[in-house]
Amino acid sequence: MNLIDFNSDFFQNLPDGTELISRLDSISNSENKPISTIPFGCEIDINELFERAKSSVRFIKKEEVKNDLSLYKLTHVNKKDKNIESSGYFILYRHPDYDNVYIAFTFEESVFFNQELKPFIKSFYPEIIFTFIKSKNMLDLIEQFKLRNEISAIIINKANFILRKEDEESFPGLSWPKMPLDEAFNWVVNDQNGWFKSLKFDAIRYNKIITSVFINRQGIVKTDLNFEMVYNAFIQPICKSIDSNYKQFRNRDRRSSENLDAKPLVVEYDSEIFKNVDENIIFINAISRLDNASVSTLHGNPYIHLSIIDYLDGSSFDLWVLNSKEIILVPQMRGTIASIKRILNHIFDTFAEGEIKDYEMSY
Amino acid sequence: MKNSLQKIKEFNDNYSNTIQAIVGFMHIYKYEFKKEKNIDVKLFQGRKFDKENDKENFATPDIGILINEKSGVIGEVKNSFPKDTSLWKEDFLQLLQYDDNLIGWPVKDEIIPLYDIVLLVQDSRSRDVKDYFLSKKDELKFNHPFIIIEYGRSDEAKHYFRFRIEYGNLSEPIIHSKIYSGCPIAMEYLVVQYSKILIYDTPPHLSWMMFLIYSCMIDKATEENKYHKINKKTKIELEISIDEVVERLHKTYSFCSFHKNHQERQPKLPKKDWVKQAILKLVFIGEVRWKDEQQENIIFLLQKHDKSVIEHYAEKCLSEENDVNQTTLRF
Repeated sequence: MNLIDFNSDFFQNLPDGTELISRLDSISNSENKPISTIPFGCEIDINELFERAKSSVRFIKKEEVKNDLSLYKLTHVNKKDKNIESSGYFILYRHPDYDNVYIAFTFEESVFFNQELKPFIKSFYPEIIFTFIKSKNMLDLIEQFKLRNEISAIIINKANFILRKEDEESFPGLSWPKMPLDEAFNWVVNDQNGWFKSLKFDAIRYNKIITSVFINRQGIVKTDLNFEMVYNAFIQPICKSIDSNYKQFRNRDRRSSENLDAKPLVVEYDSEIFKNVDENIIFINAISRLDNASVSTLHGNPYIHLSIIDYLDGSSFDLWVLNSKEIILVPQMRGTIASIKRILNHIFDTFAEGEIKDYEMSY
Repeated sequence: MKNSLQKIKEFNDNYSNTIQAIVGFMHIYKYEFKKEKNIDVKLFQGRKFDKENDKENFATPDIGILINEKSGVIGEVKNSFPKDTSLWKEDFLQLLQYDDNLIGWPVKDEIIPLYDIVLLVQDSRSRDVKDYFLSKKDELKFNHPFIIIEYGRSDEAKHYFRFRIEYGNLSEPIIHSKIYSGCPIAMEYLVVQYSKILIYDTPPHLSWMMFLIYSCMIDKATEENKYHKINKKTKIELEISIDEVVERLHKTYSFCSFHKNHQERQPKLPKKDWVKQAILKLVFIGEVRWKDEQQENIIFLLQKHDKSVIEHYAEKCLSEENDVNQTTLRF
């Protein structure tokens, strides 16, 4: 498929965002072209942000604009001779329901997606945030997808997961089990006390694969067929979750309050995860692995009190474990949405997934 | 080195325990009177009181509580007592100074007719302290009600800070009955409500002061949009006066929010001298440059530290100990 022709046609005939999804759907089905998507959040003008990108090897150019859609070309040149090493197009779509949520779509090959587009978008951290999808939520999304689309079976083709044996630190795994959904989740989440970083699965209806989907914890979704179905089942909820992240994590820092009051968050666990004090050491070790951060242990036993400075954007936090089922995160003078998310993500990735809630005072 | 680091950690631990005891005890009054009768309770820490019978000196108790503009509590927290009991008398003599009629309460004529004097002692020593007081009762005579209260952490499935009366009767019956046989306050409540308070009117360890200044410099950089990702090679240079450092620390980490409506006798904490000592040390280790000869303005070189920032400064205080010959702020 000639992408330039497609893009030019695509933009000339596209009335609004609703049609975007069905157009992408028909293109993916007729051309059998995989579509990769990155839903992300950004509270400042995205075009200005992209223009601010300063790299001597990566260049971005806006080719077309229509309503909430923009077509960009991203080019990577060799640092020495300035020859083009790779280049590709992506479409940026501003979500109509959520002010600060965008989706980047591309039909380009996975090399462009993984080596150029994804790092390019990520390089705007902390201005740009992704979401995080816990294993339980990932399972819910897939089950809803199965139910709503009369899918008879979900077969996991590739799973990237973290296992965590009791009283031990977590370790990663990669597997191609050809396993049904329930079995895979049961094995990783229930039997091995672990969680999925990403999943690739086939959706089967009447013995026929109707789509293959890749989804990871950051909300990146790739598919090859029936894009609209995948969009509605995965990308829409992911966009909603990014919007919820903004609502839940915004103005948590003390500077946002007139009296400099703290507005903590709690990570709540179903089980008494800190019942055994050995777990304190595992937790502190896990948090200490947070890159680009200073983690100071003020107390480690019997309760935990850590002071965290995030060098990426200058946010700082106090973290407390004062009962066996909860972690309390207290943003200090600066606590950006991106940094709060980064720390909570790190806890979920390296220790255990829990439920994020507002802290409720109890005397 | 490890033992010395441990000692610094213990020092900091004692310091934060004292703050938690202060806020925890004050909180019981605030909470109970608000809950029961919505009575106005004013809290203050380190307030400067004059003494009716000793015009030369003044008192700055750790704890000050004013209830309904009529009665009050003055208190001192002793997180540790020396092993040598002969040295304990000094602590009681300090408390006896509060037995003079104190002038400076946040009421119209600055005097109230009734106030309790409380001594808050860690639970490991509370019984010994009470016995000592009873043995010296003839010399240590208080005109105001005097109460010894023990405090300590209770580490169950949930961690609590617990207060219990060891000796005497508090004048407010609601509070007395609440604390008499033990009043637990969930630590999570305390730390969340008061996590911003990290300084009281006693100097902290030098390394702690350096850590707080570092944190304030990060805040300043982010507030002024000067912050960018820092690493070992990239530093952010921040120009600031020592007075501004004091002001920022005061607003961010002191008890100042307690005194919003009665600031008149409250000292500005941290004291400028404490901050200057820490700045001197930061200059010595190359993280700060003087901007003027008068040593009133500095350039802070904000940089990333490989290990935890608190540990970094604790180690710097230890390794340079001989050069500066001081690790703890003393005045």
